[in-house]
Amino acid sequence: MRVQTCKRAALKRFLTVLLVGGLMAWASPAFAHGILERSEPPPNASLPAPPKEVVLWFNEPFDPAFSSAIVIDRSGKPVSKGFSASEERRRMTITLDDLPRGTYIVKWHALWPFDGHTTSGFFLFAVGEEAPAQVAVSGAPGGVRVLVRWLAFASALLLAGSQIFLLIVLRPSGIAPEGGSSLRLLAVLATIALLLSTAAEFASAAMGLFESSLPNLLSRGLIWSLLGGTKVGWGTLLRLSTAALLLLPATSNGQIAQIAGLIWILLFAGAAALVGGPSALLTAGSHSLPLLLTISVYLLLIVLTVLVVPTILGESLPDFPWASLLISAVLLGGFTLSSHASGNGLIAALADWVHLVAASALIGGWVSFLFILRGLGPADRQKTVQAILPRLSTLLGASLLALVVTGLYGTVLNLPNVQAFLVTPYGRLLSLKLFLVGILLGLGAVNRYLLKPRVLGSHPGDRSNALRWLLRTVTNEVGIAAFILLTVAALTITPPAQVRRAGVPPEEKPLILAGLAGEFQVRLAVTPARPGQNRFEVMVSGPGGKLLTSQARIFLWATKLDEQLDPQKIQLARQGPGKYVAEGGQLGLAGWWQVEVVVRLPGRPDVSTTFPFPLGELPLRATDPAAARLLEEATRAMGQFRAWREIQQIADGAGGMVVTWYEAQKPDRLHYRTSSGTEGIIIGSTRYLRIGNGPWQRDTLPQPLLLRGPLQPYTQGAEGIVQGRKLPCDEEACQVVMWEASSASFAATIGERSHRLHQLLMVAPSHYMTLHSIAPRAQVHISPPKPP
Amino acid sequence: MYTMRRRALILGFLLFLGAALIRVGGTLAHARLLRAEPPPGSVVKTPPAVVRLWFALAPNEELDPRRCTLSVWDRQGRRVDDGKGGVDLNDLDRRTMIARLKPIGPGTYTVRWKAVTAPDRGASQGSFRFTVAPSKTP
Repeated sequence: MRVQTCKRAALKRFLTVLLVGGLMAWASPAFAHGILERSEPPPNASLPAPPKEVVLWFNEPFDPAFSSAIVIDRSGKPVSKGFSASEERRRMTITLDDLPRGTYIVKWHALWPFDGHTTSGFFLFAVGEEAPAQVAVSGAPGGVRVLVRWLAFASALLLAGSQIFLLIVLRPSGIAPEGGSSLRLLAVLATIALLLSTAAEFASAAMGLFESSLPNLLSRGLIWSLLGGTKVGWGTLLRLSTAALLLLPATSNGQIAQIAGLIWILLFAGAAALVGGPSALLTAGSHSLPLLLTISVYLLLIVLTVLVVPTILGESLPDFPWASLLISAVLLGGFTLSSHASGNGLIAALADWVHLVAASALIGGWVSFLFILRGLGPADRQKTVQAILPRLSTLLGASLLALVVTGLYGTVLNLPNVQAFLVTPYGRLLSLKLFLVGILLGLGAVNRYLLKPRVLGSHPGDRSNALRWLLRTVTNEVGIAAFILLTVAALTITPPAQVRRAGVPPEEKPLILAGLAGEFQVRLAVTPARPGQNRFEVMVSGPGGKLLTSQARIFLWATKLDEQLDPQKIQLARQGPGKYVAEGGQLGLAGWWQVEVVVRLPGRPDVSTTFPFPLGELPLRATDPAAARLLEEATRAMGQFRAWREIQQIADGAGGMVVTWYEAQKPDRLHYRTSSGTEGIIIGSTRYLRIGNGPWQRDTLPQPLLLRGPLQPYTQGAEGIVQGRKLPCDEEACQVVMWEASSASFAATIGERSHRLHQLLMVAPSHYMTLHSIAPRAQVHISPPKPP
Repeated sequence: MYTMRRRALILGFLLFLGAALIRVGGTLAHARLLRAEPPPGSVVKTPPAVVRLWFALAPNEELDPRRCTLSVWDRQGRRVDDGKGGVDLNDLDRRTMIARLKPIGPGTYTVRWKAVTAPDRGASQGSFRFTVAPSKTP
């Protein structure tokens, strides 16, 4: 028998190593793109005192050689002193000088080694009074979110804790049967609460993330990609599946099924980590069929093993009492996965996990203790207490110690300095939590050193009296623990920064850019059209000025032309016939932007119009020789064409606009029509004009027309020529070149290979020009109008 | 000792079977085929009039109608769709593709798709088959 015990112990050790190993493998899954998980200060925060540093947390390790972050002020001047990436490459820290009052912009970009992609972003925060307004936030309100999180926490801790209690306290005490069934009820209730709260929490996270309603998310399939492709989703899947496993009965068969299920979950997670997430696993094309086949065969065999083997052999299956404990441990791992700690490296994650296990042993121990004493007569009560109290006391003491040690470690990790305790909301919540923990420690000491010796003592009257007191303090401890959990739930949700909705004062004058998108007239009003928070309003009307009433989707693409930032998509919400509105900080940075308004109607290709959109001052910079060369090449390449077509849209910034369709034929012929109905033909110095279908009028120009090319008129006397971002054009990569000429600012999109001009934007006082559809080699023949 | 050995056997067995699961690989694509109608590998009784594909994309990404293609071919390599297959413009989310089929008879057909996303221009492609079962009435 000794040999067997030894082997059993070895087997159990092996299994433990295997399971823990699987958990570790899971802890570093590979995702397609990294995202900014949170930051301190958070986006749109208004801080009472200037921060010493800005910290950004990412969900994935970035490549530090190609990643960086800076802080700039509203005028674009850098105010950050230094930048550093953390050892585990998930955290960026920007150190700051003393910032005066004002609004600041944090800009970051990162390269993700896993897929070689880069992403970038920015957000605003303010110091002192001047708060940038908040980007519209949807999803469940803070209070409800905290409560749901609390329920998830409490039920998971109770569930895991009751398993720990069962295994470590109850079974060795030899009173498992009666106490066991009472505990089972507790476990089932906790599991149901956990399933519900986890589902609710995920749904609210999804709605917050996509800023959309649940039915909408379901119908668009977004929720599945979130579930399968993000850490939040993985944590949710892990919680749901382990909770479901814990519902299996604790018989031998049930335990084997539990272990099989756990191994299956871990293998599934390992396989999913290899292909990039559970959803990738299920849609990995040719791999999915053999995979699903294996999974189903595996499940079938588990069922067969559990149901058939005992009946054939006529023997009962061996016990795996540790099964539910292991599952509980993995369940708590699911919480660690979605906590802040998982972004701070393996040791922090491990500490967070130990913290959770200890908390569950503590809370589960108390509640289970109260639960099994419930409904027992005084004599039975005394007997049970005598049997379990020594072990329970040791368990609770060890848990408290582990809690305090890991808790202090986490506190040091998450709060860089003592000042942060009092200034940030995170710090204040943490102080509250520590205060409550102090009370708990006091009560624990009373239990351990005053009540326990008397409950276990020999004096009967003293005993029952002490037990009454013990039950009372334990009930109080459960209450305080529930309160602590509430602070924890609030802590794990991104701290609500002191955000004030500044809104836009009504006297601000909007910039109104009008243009044509296909046959639609589009008016884009941006208020106040300054770096920071803006309100976007789009009016769309069809031919004849009728407002768009049919189902349409209107959105904006805001692209920064002078630096390589990811384009920002701004989705507008319908607010009435033809009227679409959004508000946000997408135009947070000063510089050369272009804004494209896209009109999407069912059953037809998108139509759009692009506006130049300068934000703040556009400083004149020194000419970059490479940019000047590219502009020269483009001017020459475009100048070689004998004829071309182009569309020119000019908005005046106050709602007026004119679109002109040009046909040009070298050296001196031009034909044009305007959106206001004027048509003109110029040949040399002779001009023919007519309005609508009216009679042609002929006059003579003071100077004869001389065409050199589509780009020529705009590049004369160009200064401050600099390169901007790269953009994809139709068949090639394009480079943006910007310059100043005759008190106007230009931004041209030029093909890197062909040197073709794809688009030209110009801004001058009351002039917002977009030149596009430049079609060289077009078949153009211009001749004088025929006499009627 | 019996219990011991059996326990080890059961565990080993479960481990072995599970390990087979890890032997899968795959590449990361930009647009992934979520499902299709008719489903890949399915046998349908009535010839479908359209083939529709649903894709999974990152939140800010969508299918680029000018660059995505969808075609359906019969066993002999003849095209059986109307040649205009691609992104379904009626889907304002731009996450589905559609191809309208000419009248087709029983047989096995291959659906080929190419997905290019906007604005990132990530490309992915794939193909699958479905079968129209011979009808019982002559």
